[in-house]
Amino acid sequence: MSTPDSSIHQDESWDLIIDAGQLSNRNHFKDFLNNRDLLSLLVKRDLVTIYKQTLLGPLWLLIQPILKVAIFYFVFGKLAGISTDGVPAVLFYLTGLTFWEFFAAIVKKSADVFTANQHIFSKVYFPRMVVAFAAVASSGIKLAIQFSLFFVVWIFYLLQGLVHPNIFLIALPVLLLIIAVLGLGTGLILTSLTAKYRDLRFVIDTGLQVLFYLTPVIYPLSIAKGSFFNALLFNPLVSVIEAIRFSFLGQGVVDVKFLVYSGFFAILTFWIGLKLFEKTERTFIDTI
Amino acid sequence: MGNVLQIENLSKAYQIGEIGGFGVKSKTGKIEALNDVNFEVMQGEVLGIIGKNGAGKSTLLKLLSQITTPTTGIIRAKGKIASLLEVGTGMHPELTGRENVFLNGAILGMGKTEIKSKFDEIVRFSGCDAFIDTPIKRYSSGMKVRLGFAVAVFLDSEIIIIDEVLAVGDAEFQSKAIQKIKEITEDGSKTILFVSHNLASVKSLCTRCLLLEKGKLVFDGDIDQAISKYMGYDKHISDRNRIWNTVMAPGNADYKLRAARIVTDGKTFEDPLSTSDAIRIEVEIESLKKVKRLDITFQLMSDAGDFLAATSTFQLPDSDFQTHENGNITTFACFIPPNIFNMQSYRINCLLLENRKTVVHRLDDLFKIGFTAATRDPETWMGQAKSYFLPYLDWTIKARLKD
Repeated sequence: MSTPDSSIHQDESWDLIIDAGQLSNRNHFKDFLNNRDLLSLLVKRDLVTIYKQTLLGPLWLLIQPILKVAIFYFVFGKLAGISTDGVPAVLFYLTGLTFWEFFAAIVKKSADVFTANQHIFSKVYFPRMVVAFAAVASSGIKLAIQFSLFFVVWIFYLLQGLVHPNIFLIALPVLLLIIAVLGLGTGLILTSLTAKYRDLRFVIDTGLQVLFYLTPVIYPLSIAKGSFFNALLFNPLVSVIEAIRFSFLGQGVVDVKFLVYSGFFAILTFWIGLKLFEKTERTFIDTI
Repeated sequence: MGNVLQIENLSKAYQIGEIGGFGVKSKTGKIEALNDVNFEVMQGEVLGIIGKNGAGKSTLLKLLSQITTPTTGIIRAKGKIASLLEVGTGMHPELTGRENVFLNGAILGMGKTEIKSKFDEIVRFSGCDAFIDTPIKRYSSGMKVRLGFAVAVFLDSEIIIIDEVLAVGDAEFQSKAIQKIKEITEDGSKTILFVSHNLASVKSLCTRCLLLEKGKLVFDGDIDQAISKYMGYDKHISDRNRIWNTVMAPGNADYKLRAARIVTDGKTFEDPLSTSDAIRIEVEIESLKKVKRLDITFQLMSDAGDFLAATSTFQLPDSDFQTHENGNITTFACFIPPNIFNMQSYRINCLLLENRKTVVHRLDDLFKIGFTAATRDPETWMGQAKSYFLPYLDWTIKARLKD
């Protein structure tokens, strides 16, 4: 039977329409749900392959922060004599480092999405965003492992009564979310911008190092004074790291105003990253 | 049944030149890898796509499998599209065969439970049972290919796009793969787009064929016609029925060629020739001179000009020759049995000789003919022999018991 609107009806029966003239409206949430299995396998690949043919395996995830904290302890604590605001230095550095590493891992991994996976992307289609989500998830698992190290050390000092956790701990999931969203957003922007012109790749490592020193990981925010203090607060990570340290150790500067700023900053970064990513994924394979 | 794929005005332009620096981009031009392509595919069709390198086959597949987006045009599809542009995409050398089956399956769009339920079949098909828990970096390249292909053939997508994957692997693997593809297509629910340079496999698998040339769709339809067009046969010659009037007729003062034909029973002059066709080459000569016997020699040359074979009326006794009194137009016909030629193009020269001695006229390139593949059993070897001829000869096979 042919009705006047049969052509319209036919148009609706297509499962997939690629129109060069129209930007596809992606539903990342749906993509995410439909590709859960792929996501988990990509995470597994990321985690498993790094430590294949190593003797210590995932223990390296614990050894790395221990070595770093040892260096911080001697260089910044003993040599430079930077105050840790009355908190045991080892725990102080470990707290900041554990959560900073979470951010840095997400940025590094997601900034690599297009370049590191170009071979797969040039042969098979699946929502590219899944790989970026996998970067966050594998960083999350690394965080969980490193957090266990932190947790043991923290309990050790807690039992000695040297640290004073408080009710602010319940905000931890929100704080982690801010770090994750900010990290993913930054990574998405970087991977989109480096797909065609690779110049930015050279500054990612340096940029992260600069940001590391602009974030109170090896020093408490309280030793920053005047305009330097104000300038630091523009870094959205500052208030988050300080808040985390405050909730676990009872040391730190917490200002809800700046936490809200960090939250908005993270969302804005993520939104910009997402739009750039969507634009780039359409044709990046032609230019990479 | 209905359309499962609809392609409208599809084009893809690429920038030529290197990216980087400043201002370089503006100096270089663009290339249309695909230019205004339109076609539809019905459910259950096995569509072959052929064309020379750079014709746009890969670009078309990339657009269909959503790897990149078109510059203009619309693609509409019903059902899940699985693209098999390579076997074993995303497999990680450090992971075991088992882990890679899951990873590769997930990359191709299968869920964990789906892979789990098919896992044993996949492993059996790949023949890698013994090594399934070994990292695939220790596999031979053939094993990797087999494992990758095994995952792919168990994909449950409505539309499957296959690009040259059969080009890898040995003859045994190729015939197994083709057999499997044939099985997949049998129930008619799956639609397959198949790109290959192997015309024999295209011919045995596909029901319809697209021919791309410089980004344009130049032919859509019958496989034989597509193949003969692709091999360029009809470009230099498609005319197998040549007739000349007296003024234009080639020849010399004494002899004129009035007609030349290549006849195949059951085929018109336009139908492409297949290697399994019996053909008859005929020439009609008008002679103005009285001569005891006029002989004809056909020379068969390769496309490149190598002299391959000759056949002549020399072998006939004088009694077979008719005198001028019987008429002044003589038709010479040479029968060539089927299954002599290979899938190639050939040139035929024609020589006129008087009294088995003197060449009185020579017609070079009287015909240029080409042969497409005969239909083959998909279980047999799909490779293409490079020889000039591939004759079917008489064989006997006898078995006896050991004394």
